[in-house]
Amino acid sequence: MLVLTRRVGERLRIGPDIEVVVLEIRGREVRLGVTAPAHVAIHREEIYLRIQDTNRAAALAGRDMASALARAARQLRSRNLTSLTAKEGSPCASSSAP
Amino acid sequence: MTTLTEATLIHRSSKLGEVPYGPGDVIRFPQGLPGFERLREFLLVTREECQPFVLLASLEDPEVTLPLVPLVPGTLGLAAPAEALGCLGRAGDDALGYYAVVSIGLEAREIIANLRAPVVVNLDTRLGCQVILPDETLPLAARLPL
Repeated sequence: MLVLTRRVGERLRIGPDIEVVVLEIRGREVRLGVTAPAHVAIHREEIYLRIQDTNRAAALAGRDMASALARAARQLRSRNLTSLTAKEGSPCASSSAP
Repeated sequence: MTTLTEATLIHRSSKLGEVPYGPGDVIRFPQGLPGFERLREFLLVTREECQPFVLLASLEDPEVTLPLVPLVPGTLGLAAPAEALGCLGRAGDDALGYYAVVSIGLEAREIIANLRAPVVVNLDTRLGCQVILPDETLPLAARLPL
């Protein structure tokens, strides 16, 4: 691993078009600003790792995935629900068009 | 395993059985998906008995199939990450489909949906990506009892 020391306001260049600047150091926290092309995804590591975990758990479910989905689908349809919405972080469900 | 036949291609998996498709059905994820970064080509498989759920099936690894449920994008602040959707190419409002990755709880008593990181598909360009939304209040594991 390359280790570099930077002061507030100083920058790093990663390749020709990615720039990282140290914005602020407050106690044990460091605020960084990152400039990168739109196609470069930048995420907090812990969030990305959790999404990896949820994707793997969802994708690698057992061979009865389709039957479990069909059971859940019957229950959703019985409640006339066809899609999910989110409001202030709480999931609810939208009704299908009449 | 995917087999070329005269009429169609066939995707075979232990979870879905045989799924016929055409080359135009393939959706390409240039960056893969978190957890499956090396997988690029998928099918959106619909089954009447599973609706409204759809299945995102990897053509490169037949063991990988993600259950998805359509989202109502207007409720998720999806306009914000327009830069993140740039890799999908140009799209009219109707061309983008938004889906949450879901897990079905034991005995189908609840759905667990990732509302923070929807899968977005441009149905015109057949390109897809999974976007991590900036709204930190959106849950990674929203539970909807059935």
